[in-house]
Amino acid sequence: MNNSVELARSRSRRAAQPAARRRVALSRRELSNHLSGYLFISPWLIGFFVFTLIPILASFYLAFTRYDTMSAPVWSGTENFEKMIEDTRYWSSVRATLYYVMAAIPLRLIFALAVAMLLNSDRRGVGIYRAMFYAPSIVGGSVAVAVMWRQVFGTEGLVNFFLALVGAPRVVWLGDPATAIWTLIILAAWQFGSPMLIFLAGLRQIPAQLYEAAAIDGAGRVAKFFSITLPMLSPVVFFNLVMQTINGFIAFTQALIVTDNGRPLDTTLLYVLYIYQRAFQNLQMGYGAAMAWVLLGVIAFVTWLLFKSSSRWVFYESKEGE
Amino acid sequence: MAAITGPTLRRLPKLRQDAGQRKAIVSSMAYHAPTLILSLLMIYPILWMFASSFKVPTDIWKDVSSLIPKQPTLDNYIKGWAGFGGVRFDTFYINSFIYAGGATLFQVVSSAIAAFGFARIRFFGRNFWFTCMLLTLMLPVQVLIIPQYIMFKQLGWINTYLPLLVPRLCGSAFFIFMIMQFIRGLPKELDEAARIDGCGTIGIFFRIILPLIQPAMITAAIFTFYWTWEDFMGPLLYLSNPKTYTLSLALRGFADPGTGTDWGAIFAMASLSLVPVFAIFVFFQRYLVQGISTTGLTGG
Amino acid sequence: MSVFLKHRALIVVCVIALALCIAACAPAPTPVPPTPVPPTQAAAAPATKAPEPTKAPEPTKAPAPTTAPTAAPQPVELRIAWWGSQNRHDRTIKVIELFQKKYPNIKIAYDFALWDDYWVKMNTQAAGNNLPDIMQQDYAQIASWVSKKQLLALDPYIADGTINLKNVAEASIKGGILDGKNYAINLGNNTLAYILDVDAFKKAGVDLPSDKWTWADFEKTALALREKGNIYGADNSLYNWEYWRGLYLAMGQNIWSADGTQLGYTDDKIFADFLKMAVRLQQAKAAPMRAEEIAAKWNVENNLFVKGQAAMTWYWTNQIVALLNAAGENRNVKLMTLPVPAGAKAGAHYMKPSMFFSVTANSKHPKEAAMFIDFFTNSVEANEILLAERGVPISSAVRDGIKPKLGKAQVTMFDFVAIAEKTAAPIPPPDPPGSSEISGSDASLIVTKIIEPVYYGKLSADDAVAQLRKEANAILAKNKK
Repeated sequence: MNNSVELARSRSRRAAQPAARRRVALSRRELSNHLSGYLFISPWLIGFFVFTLIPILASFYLAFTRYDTMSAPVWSGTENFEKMIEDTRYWSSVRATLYYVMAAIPLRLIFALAVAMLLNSDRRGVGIYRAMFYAPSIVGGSVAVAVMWRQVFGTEGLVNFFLALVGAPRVVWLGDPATAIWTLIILAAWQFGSPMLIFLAGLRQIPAQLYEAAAIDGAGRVAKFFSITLPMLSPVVFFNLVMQTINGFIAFTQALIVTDNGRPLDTTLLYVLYIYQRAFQNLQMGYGAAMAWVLLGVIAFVTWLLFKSSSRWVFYESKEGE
Repeated sequence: MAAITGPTLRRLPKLRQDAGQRKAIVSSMAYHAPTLILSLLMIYPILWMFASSFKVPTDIWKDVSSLIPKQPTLDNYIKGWAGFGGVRFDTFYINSFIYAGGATLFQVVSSAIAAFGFARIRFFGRNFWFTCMLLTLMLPVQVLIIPQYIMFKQLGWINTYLPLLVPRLCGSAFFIFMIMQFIRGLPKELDEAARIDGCGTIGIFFRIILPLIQPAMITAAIFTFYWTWEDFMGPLLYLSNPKTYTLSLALRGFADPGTGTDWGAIFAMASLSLVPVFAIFVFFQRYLVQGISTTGLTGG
Repeated sequence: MSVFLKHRALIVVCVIALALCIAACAPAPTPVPPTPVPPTQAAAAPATKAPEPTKAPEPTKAPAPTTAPTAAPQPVELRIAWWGSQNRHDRTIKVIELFQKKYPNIKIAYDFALWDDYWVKMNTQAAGNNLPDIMQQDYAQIASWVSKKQLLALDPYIADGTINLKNVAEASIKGGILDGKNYAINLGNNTLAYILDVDAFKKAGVDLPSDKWTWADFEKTALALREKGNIYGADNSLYNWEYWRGLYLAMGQNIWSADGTQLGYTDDKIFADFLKMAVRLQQAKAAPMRAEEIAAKWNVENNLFVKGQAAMTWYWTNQIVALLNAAGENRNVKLMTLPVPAGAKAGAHYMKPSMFFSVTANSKHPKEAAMFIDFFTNSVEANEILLAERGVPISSAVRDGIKPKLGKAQVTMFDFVAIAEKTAAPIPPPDPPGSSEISGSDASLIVTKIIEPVYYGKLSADDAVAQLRKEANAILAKNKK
């Protein structure tokens, strides 16, 4: 059954060879590569310089100021960063966010992958299932979702109804500091549609003959999953992991509307929600910007770790840097 | 597939056919029963909202758990559709279609182009720009709102759709990265072969890569459409006239925590607002299946 | 060769990058926003601004806010913004249309949002120097906006009669006055009311408390309701930070010192006693546990009082109509003012301006904006449309004028406000800048770090009040000049 991986790997090795051909021709191609590379990324690059870079630099500057949005920012050095250390609500938000990211992201990804595999089929009616599983993800973060979700986790809601069926005691989900964050985590898992769809598109790209070859080798379902599906899907798994992690750290809307400003006792005070409160409710935009840049540092570090690890487990048909 | 198995089975000897059918039914049951239960659980909250939109407002909270309205009514839809001060929901719908449709078209195309550049071409500074691109995803928008607003005001774009649509021409980091990953999943021999046949880089993109990343582009289109459809922050900041409001922004006009809220109208309009997004998904997901099976990616 | 080529490539790339940079900067010569100079400095002191501004190049300032009064028939365009829900939007839009009919030369563009969104939008527009001419203002925020010079003093327009306040009681005007200038016109009087379910009291055999009730009476009543009527005494009741203010108002003090640099009261014990009482009531199930309240709270319809599971609740008077509508027409209710602590010198309630209209400092047509505010305040016709949705109108003529149009719930509210006015404490000055961190929303310090930890049993009431003093004073100290 390892043959199929071997088959896949050898392909990438073969791809690596033509790169090391004649030198001179390569150089000319290199120049044209530089140019066409910039040509192709130019839409993004122009947007970066015109629309993105300036606000980002501005927010970096604001992180070192006191800025109430109405009068000019006043330089305050590292005051905002020092304030963070003593701010107990800040640390509550850090705790809540880490808890959320570590629980919600794996749950969401595993769920998304499992359902994607379930729906990667040509059975009749699979289109309807796809729509039904995707549906929760299109209700997004509207007021209606908040009400709906509070309803599901309400004291007389659906979740408690099922708990009662198995004889478990009633839980005050939204009011108990130990459980409130789980309403957000489960909401994130419930809205797994976007990673699911990406997984599904990825699964559809895996050539069927790999499975056929493995079947001839006598590989079972589990073996096929680990030797073909996962390695072939790894670029997409990697993408989903990176993006969902980033999005987990900057999650905001759901916490704002569902658990109402981080209640109870700041246990659902996600990091960006706290930034929002400080920046727009207390008019401390400078402090908010400082928090945002610390967050950027943390996310960048985590992402860097993920990229570092990717060389061990992400398998590309075409090697990077060809 | 299902279409093929039918006639194939019929041609088999009767005995084997029976056994085969029984086995197929069992396997089909084993698949459909749990999948159906799970999917019903998934959409229960949506059914609840949908059911509530047909309830008399006083029943919505009295008769919370029921999914069947006692006195079904369309009043919520009629009242909700009337909108605010003469601006009805058809206006909001049109605005949302302009915003989401334009954004989808712009963003998917430009993201695919940039993704090809990042994924397939080795050029000076590529890793640097890629890192920059990822970093832009990590800064919460909350701290960028004000600088962006000031910038767009200097461009004179406030109260138009320009701040909402023009940046979409420049792609989105999320989708560039996503499409990149799909492109990198394609064997590079395809490019080499095309190059030998005399294809230039641009030709490779349009003739080889673009058809093969159809599933990724469709996925990107579904997401962009929906994420734009639900975005209220952009319209909130840049649009100051109810006639230009989008659906997502208008929906927020019903509710204010301090005062009474017409929940029936909210649920009715929220339910209606899901229809186009849902339709887009159902429509496109067919191509998600087709895209792969017809292009028949044979690899090396 | 190859090396040379590589360098060439590098040069080309640099040129492209540079070109992009230039292209990026071209449309806006100085688009770097880190130094948005306060837009209003110019408006506040136009004389000093006469020569070219020395501060920084600032294209935003192009339309300098000239306060030149425009002649009446010239076409004028105003912008107005408010927060609220659909009911308010519909009514306000109708009034705007009515005003435009009366003054065909004035066109008003309007914009609305819900509370949270509204403030994000207004703060962003303030930063962008693009505020509407008229904005709805809140009593807890107004001091910040005035101190940042975003609002225009309306005194000239009151003096020349553009805004007619002849039929308005002094107390109803006072809330908009800061540093001796009138920056905002009150859109309705508002106060906290306790709402008692008379039938539930009768059923439980508990006597209605006397009109001058103390928190001790409240506790006794709530406990009796649980004991005899098996019903919550108080719903949704005990976390409101306004009680904190009320406790000290009743003692003749304010929570903020006059200069806004520290807390204005000395006796922490009053607040600690209140918190202890609240804990006792929750333990006795005379009030719902805070956890249950948080789980249930999201709208009027889920209020325990509305559902008939609690016999007392509180609301702002301008929300009473919504509450009574949700509770049902035939509920027999009695409205009471807030209980007071023992030894009180005054009422614990005050007549709070529910919200204001202010003219912003960058309005080009302050005169017309003032005309609209006057119309909103004094036109009976307009108020027949508004129907006190923002609170009881401040003009006595308007109050009398719209009386025939009021529904049952609104009459209840009008009558109560008239009675409450008599025992109200004098209106405290607006909350000082920076106080939004301490109180004023559910996300502020007093709820998240004081009241709720006490109710969840994580903090003792005595420690809580000491901590409140320490943290609040540290925040307010920044207001020292």
